[in-house]
Amino acid sequence: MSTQRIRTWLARVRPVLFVAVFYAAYCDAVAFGQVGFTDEQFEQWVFQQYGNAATARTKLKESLELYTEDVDQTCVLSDSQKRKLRLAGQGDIERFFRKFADVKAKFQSVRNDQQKVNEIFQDISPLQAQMTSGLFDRDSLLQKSLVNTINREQFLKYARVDEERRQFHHESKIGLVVTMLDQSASITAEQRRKLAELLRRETKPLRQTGQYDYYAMMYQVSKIPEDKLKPLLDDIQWRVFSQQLVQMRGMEQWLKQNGLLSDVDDDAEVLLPDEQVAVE
Amino acid sequence: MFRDDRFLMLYRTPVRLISLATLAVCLLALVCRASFPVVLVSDADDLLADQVDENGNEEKLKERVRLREKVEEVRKAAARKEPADSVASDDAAAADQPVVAKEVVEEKEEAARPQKGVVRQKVAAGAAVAAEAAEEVGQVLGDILGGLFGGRNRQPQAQIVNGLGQLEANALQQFEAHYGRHFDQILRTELHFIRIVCQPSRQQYEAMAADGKLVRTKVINKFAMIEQGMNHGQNQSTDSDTRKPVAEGLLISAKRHLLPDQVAAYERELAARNEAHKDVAVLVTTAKLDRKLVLNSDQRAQVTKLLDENWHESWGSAPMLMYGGQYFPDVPDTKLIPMLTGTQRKVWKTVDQQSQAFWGFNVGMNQGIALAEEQWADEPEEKAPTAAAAKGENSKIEKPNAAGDADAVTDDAASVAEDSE
Repeated sequence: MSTQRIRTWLARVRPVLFVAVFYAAYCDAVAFGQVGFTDEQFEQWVFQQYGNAATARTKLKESLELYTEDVDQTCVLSDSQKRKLRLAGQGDIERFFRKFADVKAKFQSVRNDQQKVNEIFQDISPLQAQMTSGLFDRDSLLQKSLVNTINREQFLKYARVDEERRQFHHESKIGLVVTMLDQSASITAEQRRKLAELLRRETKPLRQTGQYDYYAMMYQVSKIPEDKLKPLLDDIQWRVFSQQLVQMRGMEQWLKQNGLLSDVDDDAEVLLPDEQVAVE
Repeated sequence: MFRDDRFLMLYRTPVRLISLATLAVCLLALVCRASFPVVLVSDADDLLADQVDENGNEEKLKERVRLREKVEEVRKAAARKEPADSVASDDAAAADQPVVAKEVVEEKEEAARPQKGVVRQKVAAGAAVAAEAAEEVGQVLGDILGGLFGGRNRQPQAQIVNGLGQLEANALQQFEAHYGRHFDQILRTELHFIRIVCQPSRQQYEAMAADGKLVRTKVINKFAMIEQGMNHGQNQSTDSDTRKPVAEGLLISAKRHLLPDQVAAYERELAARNEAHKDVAVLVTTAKLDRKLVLNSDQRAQVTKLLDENWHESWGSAPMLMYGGQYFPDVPDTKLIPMLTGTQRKVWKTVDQQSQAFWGFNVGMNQGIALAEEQWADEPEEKAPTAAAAKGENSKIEKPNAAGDADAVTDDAASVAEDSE
């Protein structure tokens, strides 16, 4: 092939090549201009370390199995009781995935609009919190059905174990609040002891535990009257601590949105199985 | 096709142009590299050189004297031909005191080297020269490659070299700008804490506050170095407690300026603080494991014991405790797994275990707020409070401007206060 022929061939092809290159650049620019988030990205946001819905479902099923085992260990359940509990737990999982599907549908309708996708994060955030804290809290179908599934004797045993666990977690949150104050303001051993005592008296175990327990606990602390807290600290320490409390008071809305604060009265008495029957 | 001369010309011309351009860029990079100022500061005293103007020469002088005293002690110990193991164990103990002790460790190593033979020294010196030359060549090559492949433009910047590695001045400035006020709060509150616990005289307090500035500088350098290492993709340091090195530095200062009883009170409080922090961290970590594995009460007790006995400081870092709902410490599986049921084991195997990777530098709830200076009652400065006032009377929290200094004054305390002038 002579050079002349190559030149001729190139001269003919050149316009086509130019058009192809410009079209590719145009497509690229259009794609760049659009956000175009994928379903995989959405699932990654919701399920975080689990990555996708399928893995998350498996993890939740494992978690349900752990809860059932725990109740069984305490109350010695019959096969039928275990079946009922598993069914209730499955209900919780399905309820969660229904919420997930709703948010996903909403996401799919706006996935190309960055601003609207940002708004969707308000819906994603509670799902994330639920995934982290677990689905089988006090408001879950599993816990509610427990009262109707087990007998009075079993329930009393379980209530004692559950209360012990709640207190254990509560004590850890109290310790965390005191430690964090100590790290930012340096308090003495005696101050730590007195502050922990006050928090035991003035705060309640969280209804739902999870990734942001510290904030939920600090929110409770921020509601303690100043005349009870301030005498435990001196001026410099109080200035540091009160600044943190002011910040926490402003987090009420965020905590409620993430399901970390509940309007339900925790002190309301739980009816035992036979009492429920009597009421009905 | 390649026999065609015109085509060969077309092919060769750009190749020649590229070769010439590469050569020009290499020469330019070499010239620029030679003009970059590189400040190598290896002496621990000179680490503070930048701070001299700010803190005054007096602090630096004091620091030099203190270091020299410690180095002298170490050299004397080396002259007594201490066994190598004991030197090593001393080093390990000293490594836990990262402020002044860090430099002492370096000096100790210097002092210990002659025992290991002249040949080894020569080999080490040769290796150091070779390493320096290799580093220089590497830097030049890095510049050239950076220039060729569009890497980030190197800005001329001073570098500080100490025992931890190289700290770029820009990195230090950025770190100071970002976290300086947080370290101010730590120093200020720790000094205030010392006032509550030890009840020093104003003179004692001010001497410690002056030392505190040096401690702050060293601690901020240390954490800037860690941050820089993390930004360059190096492994994270497990040392994330920002208050601990400040407290340890101030403890050394307290030993110089306060009475033994006052120092003992501070040491007791520090020990209680460390113990309390560990206890809480163990409790929080057990609660986290319980939430994941639904442990029964016996298992919780067993796990608490396991964590307590195998505790690693990084597990108790502030972010790990505050936000670590989904991350778990790398608890030894061989000890944990036998405590778990089959289902729990299955879940535990899939748990994301890490010490504190990806957390980055974190100041916890420290908001870096500006705090007022200490208030003092009008009284003679040389008077110091009795040591008895500080002895275990931690429950008695006095306001800074209250009558903290109005306690009875002993002659001994007053004389020590005069000595410290």
